[in-house]
Amino acid sequence: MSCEKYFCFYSDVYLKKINGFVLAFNPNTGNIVEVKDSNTVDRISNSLDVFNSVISTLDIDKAVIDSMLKCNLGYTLKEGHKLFIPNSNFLKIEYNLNILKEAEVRILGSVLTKNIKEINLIFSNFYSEKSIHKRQKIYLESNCNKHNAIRLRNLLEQLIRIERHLVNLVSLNLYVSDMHSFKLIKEMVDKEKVRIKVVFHLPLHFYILHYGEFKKMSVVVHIFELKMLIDHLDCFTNAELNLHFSDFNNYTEATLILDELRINYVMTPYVFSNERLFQQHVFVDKEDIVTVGRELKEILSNGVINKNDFGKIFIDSDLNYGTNLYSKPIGTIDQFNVNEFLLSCFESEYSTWFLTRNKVDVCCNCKYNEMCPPISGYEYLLDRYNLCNILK
Amino acid sequence: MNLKLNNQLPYSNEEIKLDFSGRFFPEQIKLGLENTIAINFELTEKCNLKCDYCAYGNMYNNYGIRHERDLDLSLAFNLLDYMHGIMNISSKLNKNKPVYIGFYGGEPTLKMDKIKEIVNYIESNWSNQYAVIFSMTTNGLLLKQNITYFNQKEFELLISIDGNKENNSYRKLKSGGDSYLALYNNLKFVQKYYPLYFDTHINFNSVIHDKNNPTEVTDFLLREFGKKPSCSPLSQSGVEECLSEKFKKMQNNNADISKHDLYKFIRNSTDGIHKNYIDLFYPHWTKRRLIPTAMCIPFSRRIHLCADGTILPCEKIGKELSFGKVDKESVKINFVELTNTINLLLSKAESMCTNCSNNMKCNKCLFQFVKDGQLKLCPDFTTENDEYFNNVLRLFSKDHKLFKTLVEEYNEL
Repeated sequence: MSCEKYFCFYSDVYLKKINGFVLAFNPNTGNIVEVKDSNTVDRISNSLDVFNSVISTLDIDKAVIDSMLKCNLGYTLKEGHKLFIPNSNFLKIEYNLNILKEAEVRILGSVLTKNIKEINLIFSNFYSEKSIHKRQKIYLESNCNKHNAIRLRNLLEQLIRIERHLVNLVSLNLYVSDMHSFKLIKEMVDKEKVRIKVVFHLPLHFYILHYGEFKKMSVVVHIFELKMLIDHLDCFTNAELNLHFSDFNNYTEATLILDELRINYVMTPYVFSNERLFQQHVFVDKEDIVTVGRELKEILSNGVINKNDFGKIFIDSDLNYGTNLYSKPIGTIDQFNVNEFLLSCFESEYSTWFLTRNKVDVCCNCKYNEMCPPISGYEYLLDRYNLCNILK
Repeated sequence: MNLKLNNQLPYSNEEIKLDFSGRFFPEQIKLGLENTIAINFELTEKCNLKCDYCAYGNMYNNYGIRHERDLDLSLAFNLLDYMHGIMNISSKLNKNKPVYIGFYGGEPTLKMDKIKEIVNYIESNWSNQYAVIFSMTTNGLLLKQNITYFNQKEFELLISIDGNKENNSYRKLKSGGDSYLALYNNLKFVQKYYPLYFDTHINFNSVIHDKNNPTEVTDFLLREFGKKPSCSPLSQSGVEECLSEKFKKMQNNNADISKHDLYKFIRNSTDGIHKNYIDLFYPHWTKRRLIPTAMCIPFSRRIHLCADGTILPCEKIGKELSFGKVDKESVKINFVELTNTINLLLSKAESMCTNCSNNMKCNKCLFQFVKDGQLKLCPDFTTENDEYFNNVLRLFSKDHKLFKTLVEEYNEL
């Protein structure tokens, strides 16, 4: 079958050399070929260093080339053909962390603000809660005094002033659970004519008590008790639900009800002595990783940023801020300086924006680490990084 | 589906159809101005040189008639007050952000009195919240006389020099004589007596034409002054038809494919180079709505006040369109009208850009091919691309490390 002297990988095939393996994966078809023989691995990587996408088939087992052809990873080339063919199997960020550290103030602000995707203001001092398991619920509790609510409101006002520079901001999420804080920020958001999407996140009991107030607003109602949901199903016509569940039976029951009533919802598992639930329903297998229909860039990005967390900022009522609900806070906002504040989200050791699998134990040696979903908050809660059944 | 490989390329124009339906909003242009990098003043239309290829000379017709006018300082002060106002109401991002104040001409050093008055005005009227950097593009003939002031005010100087004596021979004195020796001596004087200033504040710009090439110019300036120039081609817009033969002769048709071009080729033909981390969340730019041509957001880089009070978004474009005006009373920019005018031209450019084989390596500004308010055919428009692509691939094949080196080391920020 393969009698030509060269084999060229398609430009969007993912190629990776790790721990003596060469892995070639076509994200469009889900086909994967893993080469283990050390001589072949060396030959392939030497060829790729020179020709970018092309390998010499001389001295490579014919079966390897045939399997690559069969898996639709590329095509053969004749001798005499121009051999250097660019591919997209690399990622370069021009305004990368090193550049930003040395950037002039002139460009710094505009670059930093472009990287913000989501700002979450939580009217509770959840970063002070040392138990990250308890943090799963604490942002729904009302422990924000009036003084802190005003401080948070003032911070929000400052963020709104730079709103038009936050060109990639998808939403401003406000987690509120008391009427004083709600009115304080609602008034301000209305007055300032905020153009970005503002989403209020409310605990169920608070929503039920005042649900007339939340009409014509983007609202997500957080529910931890399925029974409470069933008792108040008629209240959710305008709101989206986020049902936090710890048990698979609850999950099934809730989805049946909500699907039937055509209510918008998302389901979020929470960690509560239930690792089995995660092992059965959340952990990934090789089949989940080697899936069809992904883009090469999506895979390569997993080696650069944590796409679950990148661009997200969480700020609590003590003005502590971080990049993940369950990570350590990066610091406290004292005097609001946009550049310093945002730069710390890039640089801090507690920032999770760059926490990728190639930096954490177990996953760093896994050949699928870039193909695997990014590290999530569940991994801090379960105290293990590899939520998978591949490397145990 | 894999992209089909055609002619060894990772893509071909048959396979990727770029979407050029992007347009501007008035707010976007206003925001660009509020956060602009530089405010430029054309102090005078007079010059002490008469270069053969001067964009304001006989060979071009799109910069309006030059009457040897000088800028009325009250217009400059009006613009400064206006800019100070809008930069102040803009976001906190502007705080501590340097603003460049640029002086152009003609030859700006012919009007040192005006330069000093503008510098004084800024120092007296602008609060310290902006770090102001004064800059100037000059032919350097009056450099020696003014070096003490430039040094004192830490002016950033961009000096025009096309290389050695032969390379520089299009840059003629008004009398027709050679300007090279006077400039060379001035540069050597500053290099000798103001070495720190020379090292840190002086840069060179070279126009590339048939009497030089980037490699030769760079070698010369590195050897003589330890500096690499930025190289630019002859201005292509507004060339008088009757002089187009002369222009073609002066163009450097054998210019190397620069590192910048190669880097741009990699960026456009692969999905590997991105400006910001956030871009990793979005589809490749080939899948987005693009603004036709390679134009920037007007005023986002600079605002240029001409000697006659006309406002332009850049000194490199002609006065074909009305962007605004400064008079003795006020600054007049109608953002809505301006946006509509630009968007109308962009709508006309859309199909041209969609069908152009150069659309992935375009570096043309929309305003470079507007004449009498109408859009003309872009000088770079072509439907044949194979030659350029093959030349690039040949370079990569010749030097296998080039691709990787450019990706890893080259940065055009």
